[in-house]
Amino acid sequence: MRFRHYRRDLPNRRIEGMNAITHEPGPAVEIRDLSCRYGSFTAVDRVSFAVGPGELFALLGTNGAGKTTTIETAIGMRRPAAGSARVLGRDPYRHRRDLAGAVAVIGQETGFADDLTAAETIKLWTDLHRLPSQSDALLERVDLAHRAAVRVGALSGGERRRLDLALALATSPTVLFADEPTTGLDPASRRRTWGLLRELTQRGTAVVLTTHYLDEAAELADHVAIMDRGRIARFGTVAEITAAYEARISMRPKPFDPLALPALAGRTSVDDGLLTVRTTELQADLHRLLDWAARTGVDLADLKAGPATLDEIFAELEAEPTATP
Amino acid sequence: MTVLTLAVAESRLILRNRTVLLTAAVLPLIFGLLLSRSNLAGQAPSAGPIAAMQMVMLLVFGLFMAITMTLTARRQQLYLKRLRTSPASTASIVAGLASPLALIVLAQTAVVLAVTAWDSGSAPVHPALLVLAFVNGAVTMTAFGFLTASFTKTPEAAQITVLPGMLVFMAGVFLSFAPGEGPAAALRSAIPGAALAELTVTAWDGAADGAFASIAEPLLVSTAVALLASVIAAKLFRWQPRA
Repeated sequence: MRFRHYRRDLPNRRIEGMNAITHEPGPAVEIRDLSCRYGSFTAVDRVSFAVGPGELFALLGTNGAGKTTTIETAIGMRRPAAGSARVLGRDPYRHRRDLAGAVAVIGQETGFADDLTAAETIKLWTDLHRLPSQSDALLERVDLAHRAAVRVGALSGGERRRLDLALALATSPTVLFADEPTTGLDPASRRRTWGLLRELTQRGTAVVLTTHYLDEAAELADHVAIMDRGRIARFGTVAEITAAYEARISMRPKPFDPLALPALAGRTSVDDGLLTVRTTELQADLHRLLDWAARTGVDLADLKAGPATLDEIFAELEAEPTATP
Repeated sequence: MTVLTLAVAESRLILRNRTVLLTAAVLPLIFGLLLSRSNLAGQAPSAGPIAAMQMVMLLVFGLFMAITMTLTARRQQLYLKRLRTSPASTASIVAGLASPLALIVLAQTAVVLAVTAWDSGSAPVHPALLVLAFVNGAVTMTAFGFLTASFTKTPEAAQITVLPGMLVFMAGVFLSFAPGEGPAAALRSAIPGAALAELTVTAWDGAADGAFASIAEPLLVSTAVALLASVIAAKLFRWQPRA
């Protein structure tokens, strides 16, 4: 299975600098039938997706779903066992150095030297990329200017994540791989990070994001792939994925007599006083319930109605005995 | 440029970690100076073999062991993985991390050999050759440290995995003192540490057939061995901890 969803309206970019490369027309990132193994364990199993310039693609999944292995292969840290990864038209394992100027990576672990200061870390990074020193401006952008002289080992987890983001911004990347970039951030910093990621996509950067936060994917992603046990179990826009699942209506009726419920198109279940209706006819069933409540004087406490959330889809996928490719 | 950038950052890291600074800067110096005062120094026919042993000892402790531990520790901290996402080449990453250590060993070697010269009342006949010996040793030690780090999982494990290398280097030094010519001599030069010792002895005591003729073979053989070690290490080395 191969996915080709990416924006074609953005111009191809030439990346200037030490490792100038030209990005030919086509997806910025193309993963095709990728499989990765650790010994006999298959961590990634025939995964395919493509990300175009200016697109933000989110890989979702639980721990061990294969997201990080996919990213590591795409950044050239490991060789695929089968299939291929192409970044800006090149094999990232063979052309790691050529791509380094155009590809930025935000890892789950930052990999900074604890005894360098925040400013020295940025200077090291910009010097390695032969870019002009811009520590002050970058630290300002991620709200760390006041921590410039502090050693990385003394920064909080959230501050390290922001420093990581500053390094990614330093190179104005054409492609950004962000492996759980907002883990450990407070809500305000998360929002700020979202803003910076949006800013990058607006400038044409292709972003591959892995995250545990489903609201983050819903907020940022053009396309989402849900990985489960090494495979892509669902793919599409958030709306497309949620539309494939039954909508939910939940409430705590008071007083509640299950036998008195009106006839509904959906299936009902009750758990600890919470009545849940899974339905393909959201509007009609909701209307029936509201009408019934009005007629019988039942109070519908905690009433919620809407399409299935990614959380619920996640839970359903996890409960499946085997992944659906 | 890339090597210099990495070397500056690595120097900062060494200077800011007192344990590393003490281990890298003080301990090898003490061992080197103790050798000058040992019975071995009194029994040696000239200062050349003592200088060779001192230089090998300083390079083994200060560079071979230190670079093995540094590479393993930096991999554990994911610092190498981070550097691997930059345009830096494999060679420049290893050279960048090794050069501050090599400079420390160079300073230590200068001090220790100055003491040896003072004690023995003799100076090296070919000082430039001594520098060449040091460079050859530094390259060999870095290459074998890189190779050792490729099969060392943790910095703690490095304390064990460096032992075979240390023994080989020491064996190389002692074998270099044994007489021999032709293919046997070439084979001996292939043992890491032997060429370094041969070069140092020649630099200090001189050679009957002219210094530069006698150094060509050990220099070429040891450089080839160091290159081979580097190529194997580059193939085997993991830039991030095992999953």
